[in-house]
Amino acid sequence: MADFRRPDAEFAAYDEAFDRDGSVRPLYAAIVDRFSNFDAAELRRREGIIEEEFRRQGITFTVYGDSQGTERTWPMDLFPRLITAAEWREIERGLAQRVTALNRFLADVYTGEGAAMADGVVPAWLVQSSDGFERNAFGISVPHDAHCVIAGIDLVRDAQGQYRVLEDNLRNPSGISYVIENRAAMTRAFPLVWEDHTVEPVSQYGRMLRTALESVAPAGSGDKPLIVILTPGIYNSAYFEHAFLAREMGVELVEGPDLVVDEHVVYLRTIEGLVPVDVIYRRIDDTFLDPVSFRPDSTLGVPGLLGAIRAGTVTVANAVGNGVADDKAIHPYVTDLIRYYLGEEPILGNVETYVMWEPDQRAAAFERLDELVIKPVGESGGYGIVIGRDATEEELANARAEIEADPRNWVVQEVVELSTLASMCDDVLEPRHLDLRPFVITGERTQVFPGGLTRVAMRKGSLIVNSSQGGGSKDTWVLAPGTNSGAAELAGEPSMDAAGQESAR
Amino acid sequence: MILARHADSMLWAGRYLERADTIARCVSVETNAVMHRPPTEARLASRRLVQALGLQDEFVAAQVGTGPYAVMDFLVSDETNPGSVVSSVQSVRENLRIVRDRIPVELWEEANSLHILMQSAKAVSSGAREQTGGEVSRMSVITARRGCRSLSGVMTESMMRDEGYAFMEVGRLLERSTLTVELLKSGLGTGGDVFDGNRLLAFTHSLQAARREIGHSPKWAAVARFLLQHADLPRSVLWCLGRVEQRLEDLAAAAGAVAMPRRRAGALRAHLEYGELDGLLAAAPDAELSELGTSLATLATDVHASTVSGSGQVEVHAQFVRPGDGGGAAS
Repeated sequence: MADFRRPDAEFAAYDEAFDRDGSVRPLYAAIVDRFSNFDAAELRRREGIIEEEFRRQGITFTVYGDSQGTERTWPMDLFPRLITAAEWREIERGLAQRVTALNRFLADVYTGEGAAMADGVVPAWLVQSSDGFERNAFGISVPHDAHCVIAGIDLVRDAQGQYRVLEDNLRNPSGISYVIENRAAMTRAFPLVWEDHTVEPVSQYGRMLRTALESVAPAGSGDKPLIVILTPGIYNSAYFEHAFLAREMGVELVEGPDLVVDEHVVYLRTIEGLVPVDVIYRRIDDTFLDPVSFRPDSTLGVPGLLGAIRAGTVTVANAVGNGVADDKAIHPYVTDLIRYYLGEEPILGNVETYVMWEPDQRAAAFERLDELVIKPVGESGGYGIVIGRDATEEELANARAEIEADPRNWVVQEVVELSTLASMCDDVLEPRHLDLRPFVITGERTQVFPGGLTRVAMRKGSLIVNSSQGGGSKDTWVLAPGTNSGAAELAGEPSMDAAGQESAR
Repeated sequence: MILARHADSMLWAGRYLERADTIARCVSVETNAVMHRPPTEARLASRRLVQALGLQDEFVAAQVGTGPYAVMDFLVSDETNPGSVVSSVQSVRENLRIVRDRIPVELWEEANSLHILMQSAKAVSSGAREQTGGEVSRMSVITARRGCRSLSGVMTESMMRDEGYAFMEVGRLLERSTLTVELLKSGLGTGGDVFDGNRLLAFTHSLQAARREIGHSPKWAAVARFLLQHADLPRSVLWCLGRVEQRLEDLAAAAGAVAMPRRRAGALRAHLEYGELDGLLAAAPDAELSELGTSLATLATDVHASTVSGSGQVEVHAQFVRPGDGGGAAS
């Protein structure tokens, strides 16, 4: 019989599957029951099936500088994460609202009047000093104002079970391919668990994304615009995902040298000759996109691409300059941007964040830095983060000095005791912290893909869920309305609430 | 429509697949043939194979040991030898990885699985080659041959007959033709070796068919005619060139970028089909086979050039080209 370890009674985090008294939450009753029928050896066997399948299929990611080799098999934990239909409806509304506001903000910054800055919602200097702010993108409009066609919004669940936004990813969010492969693996390894649940499918992503990309093609592209995915190549950490998406959408996967710009038109080099391209879903950063306009030493990009974008002959998704909106320093202002652009209260709140360029907030944060999380605004992937309670005095002193030297470069957040869920660790199912990255697609309209990538910190007590730092993942089930387990949502699960505690005014 | 770079990768995936299959088969034939002979004879036979496969330079560079199975390991599991079975399988995988989005999932999975199996066998073999009497390389050969057959099957049964398939098949057939000619040259008996027609036919996977057509103890000329000119033997150069010509015609209809190699393939096929090959082979077999080898290399170069001619130069990944092989992207 599988051994489920209950969370410790004094544990502050919200556990997704078990109540404080150790009883199974109704939502998880059926799946816990299923798993309880497997002994550890059987779970290990099924774990082996998944791992072997991922290895055979080459479902991998790359950790740069890893001494074990470049390609690593994708880590997936057996025990799935469940979300009720009602919970998901609220998350969905909140995400659509947030991404709509962020797209409005990007349009305001690059092609609008800069109204939010003029009206003091966000300081203009903060926008202009952002690493992601791209002067070259000024005046470049995007069909339907879909600056961010694909967004990945990182959500966490606090001690009360409330979902909050930890980070917005509006440049090149990755992970969707693993969502789909996790589901396929789960289906192979546990064919019978589906008897108890009706789960929203995830296989439609390729069609959804292609439709959105077609909708942002430049005017005059015709009924079937030529779409390509631009990858840095086979050594990129997310190459598996790039190839996966090209296959799912039925489009070409290209590298920079496959494209050439002539007279402000981007062409694909084929054996038939040059073929004009309408939409480029790029998976390389702004700075590498065009050596003429950005880094001159970039061999990944396409010389003259920005000129073609500006001429309106090609659409690049996500648009150039999106980094300004997912700058961690802008994050604290997003809830106000929602109120400003949409006139609505935010459905999803932020994790409480203090900005270090405001002296009062900085002083308050310095007084209890050992209780907070210190984040450099320019890093991603969990790098550079200092978790106060785990840091030494010396590390905290260094962090203070670095913040004082460059306050613009730092934000400090309250620790969110990320929710936990049973995960397979040494033959027992133990609570581990996790987050959720849902994906939001914007073309003519904004749609939220059901579920998302659940990332789990496999080390006990760790809050770092990134796969590059030893994190795993879980299949994420959004239950269809009206299913047995979906009905559990009515039995006392916490519901979504309005925005939590915001800060940084 | 196919990207120039993808066409190049498909072409090379096909070539490496054929190369891995052929080398594995040759090693298998050679080791079986000398299994009951003294180890020194096994080593000598393997050295002949190195020469036939055009890997002398790599052999010298690798400073292969003197053990009886060291040459076999060099041909099978030595990653420093770009012409070994394990390297060729790795190259198949790398080229298919580049076009992973456009090939059937099963084809990629077969290539990836074969690569993983070969790598794990290599890891075992690194410390224990001599102790196991070449057993690890023998097992690797069996793995590689099964894997290559499986890849060929998936390719044939599940690939769309588009430009990518055409380039992959052209790559395979050109590599097969080139290796057949090289192996025939090695069977001329130079260096005091005794010609063994059956072994040569086994190298080219033609022994069973040849027994029905040309008997059990064929002379070199009969073997040469069989391997060069038989119209119905998928291992013969004539058969391969006929298919290459067809695939290039398909490509010309779709893309129009392969006029030159198509003409060259046609001319070479006509030479084999209607030329005075018997007389030429009887008078100066070495010269005729060298000429044939050169023509095949030129054809391979033309096909490679056609992948980029439609759209200007495009950077392609470096590939391992054996001497006289053609291709235009040698590392």
